[in-house]
Amino acid sequence: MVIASLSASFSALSDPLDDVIEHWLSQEFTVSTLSPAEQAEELRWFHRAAQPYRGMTIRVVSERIDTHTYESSVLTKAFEDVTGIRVVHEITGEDDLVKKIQAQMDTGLNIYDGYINDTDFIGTHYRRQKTLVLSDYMNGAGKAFTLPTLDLEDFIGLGFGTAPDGKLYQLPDQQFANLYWYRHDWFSRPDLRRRFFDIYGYPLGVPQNWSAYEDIAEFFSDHVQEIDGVQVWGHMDYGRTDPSLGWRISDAWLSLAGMGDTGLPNGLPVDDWGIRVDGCHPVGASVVRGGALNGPAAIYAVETYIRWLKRFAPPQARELTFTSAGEWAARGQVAQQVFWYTAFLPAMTDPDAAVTDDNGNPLWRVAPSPRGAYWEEGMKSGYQDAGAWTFLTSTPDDRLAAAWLYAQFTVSKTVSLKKLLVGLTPIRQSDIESDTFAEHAGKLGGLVEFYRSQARYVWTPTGTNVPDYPALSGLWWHHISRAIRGDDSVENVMTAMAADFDERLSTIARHQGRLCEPRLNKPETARHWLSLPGAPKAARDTKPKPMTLPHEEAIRLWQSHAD
Amino acid sequence: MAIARRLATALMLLWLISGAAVAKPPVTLITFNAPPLVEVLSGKPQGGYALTVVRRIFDLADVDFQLRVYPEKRSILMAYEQPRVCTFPIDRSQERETNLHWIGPVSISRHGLYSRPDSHLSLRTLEDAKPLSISTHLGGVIGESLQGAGYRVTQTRTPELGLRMLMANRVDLWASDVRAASEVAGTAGVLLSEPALVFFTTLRSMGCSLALDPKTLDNLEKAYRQLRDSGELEELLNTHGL
Repeated sequence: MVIASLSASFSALSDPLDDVIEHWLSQEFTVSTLSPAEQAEELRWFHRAAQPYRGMTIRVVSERIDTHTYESSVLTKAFEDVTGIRVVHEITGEDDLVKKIQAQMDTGLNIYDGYINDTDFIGTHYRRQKTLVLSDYMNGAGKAFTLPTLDLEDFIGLGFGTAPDGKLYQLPDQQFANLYWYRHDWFSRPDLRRRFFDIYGYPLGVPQNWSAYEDIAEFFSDHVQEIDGVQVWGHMDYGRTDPSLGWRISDAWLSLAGMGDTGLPNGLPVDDWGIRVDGCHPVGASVVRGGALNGPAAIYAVETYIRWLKRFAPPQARELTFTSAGEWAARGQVAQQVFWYTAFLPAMTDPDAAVTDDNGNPLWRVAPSPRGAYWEEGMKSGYQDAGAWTFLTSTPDDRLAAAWLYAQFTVSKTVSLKKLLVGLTPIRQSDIESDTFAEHAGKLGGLVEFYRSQARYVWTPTGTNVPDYPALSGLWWHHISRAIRGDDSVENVMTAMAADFDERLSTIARHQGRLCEPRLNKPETARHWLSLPGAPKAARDTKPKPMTLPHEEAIRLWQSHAD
Repeated sequence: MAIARRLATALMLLWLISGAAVAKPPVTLITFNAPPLVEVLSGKPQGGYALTVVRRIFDLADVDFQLRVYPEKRSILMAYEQPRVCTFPIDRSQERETNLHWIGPVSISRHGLYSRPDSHLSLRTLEDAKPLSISTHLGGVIGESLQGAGYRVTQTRTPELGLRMLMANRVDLWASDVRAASEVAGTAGVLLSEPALVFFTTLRSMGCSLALDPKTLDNLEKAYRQLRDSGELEELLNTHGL
């Protein structure tokens, strides 16, 4: 590439730099909320700020989604052309990334200069104190390397990367939500609508609770079975014994069942992992210690997950993972998904996919997910993933500064709107409000409406009750897979998992030098805790009256969050 | 006196019997030639810093082991299938995570793409290698993950065979652990250029059978933490650079 050979020889504000800028603005960053002149000025700033580190190679890592592939294969080249800093942006599985950041925290070895790490880690970063406090860095040692037009207030997920001390530890690079997904074309067919009403006595529509979702799943899997000569299923999920199985439960199933307490972002004092805190100190996950991980709501959530997986989902679903299930649904054989990760939107919007029409318009829509029987007003309404730039204090100063420059480049207004159109994982208010994003609304099935509403603050990542994400996250898949295989009852599995959580909390408490360490409650009877208000909640009727809404009305619920 | 002697003999027998009943057979510890992590000469592991780390773990844990050498892929399958086997230094990955108990890392490995010394091939990102053919050895996660991502990969039985494919013009690139690459090239008498791209990092660890008894596993994990927390592990790994 011509530009590559230029990058080594240009000097500040020389003609080759102008050529480089002209190339990238005219060929790649053709959409932006900045004017071309403002974009050029941002790129010149990166060029100047990077001067001490020209010729350096840095190494960063992120999980495997389209947004990061774009960064790894395109933005690294643009950054190198502008700054002379080479970036190896590795892409790997999310669990591998977790193991790597954990290894760097534990050993102090500088494995990577920067991580795009989910803000699910915020409770870990805050407590372990091995993570660079970005807000301090931006005002201190990193001030000369902090983009004047970064505009932090423009980031919609800043709160997710902010710890209880009010400081920013993680800067969002991409966000995606877990929403209800369904085949709008099938749900609109008069013959299917009539047939559904005849069987169930209410209209086929966006389910508002799990009773309605289950009816719709049964309708498509057992009654309809085939559409246009192709076998169809009324439900989709995944169940392979894999680390991503754990996220399925910890991200979505328990919180949407209503296991935790009310209060945003995660529920207080009991959060969406079932962990109770006293102040900032985790005090237990099991019901006998005041947690909710083996309470009636959690058992109901996992029993429902397994029942629907085995009864209504395609048989292959049991062997799929986060990644393979995301791609599978684009084949066009699934009627609905209770929690669908919008990170897979690029596959769903592909004009060649079986879920788009001849004009490339989506045959599907997204909407708020239906809630389980224990869900109450004031609780989070779903999970949102916020992959965020995270730096560890073990990173040498020069490498840190160079990596911080690259991080800001990937979220700068010069590139963020183009990145949004490629990966569909918005982070900036200005991009979301732009005409360009609005023009794509028709192709995105409700994503624009979701991110333009205040609902985006009610779909939240894992929160600060979780004191050490990598130390605890492996327990999820280990135990849930036993329940799927039928090794033991769901109740016994959840009780064993809750006991393991308590034991690990107790181990974490023994580590020196951690803030807000766990202080386990003394065990009481389960009856004691279940008789108190809030989580853990006593058993209740799990078959409320089924309820559906037309898509327009379901979407209006997002707008209502603005009130 | 005779009674006392008989009593002592009986007690000794009882101790031996009960000892024999609880004594666990040694762990079969499998490794393979992966210099400079593990150096195997004449079929026997002779040195290497990962071998030093793992020996220290077993010493600190006070767990007996018998060291064996098998090809990497086979050693992983043995740890999957047999009850008291650990193998190292293997790549830890999300795909393998649930199949083994993991202790590590015992090395941080960078992986590079090498072209022939006379080649003018330039790679800026991994994506640039998409149209090219790549050889790499069987058993590492590099081959599996590149193949899964749609790259044209040939997996060879040993790293040397992968390098030979490159030199024989049968592939465009050879993927290898960068520390191993120069040693493999030296042995093969090949003067290797710098890698065209160092594209991936793996945590190389010890993977143990899921059926390994919890007590042994716990002892090994504690020993690893002791090695890590004392700073000895960092010192060992830093000596060999990242």
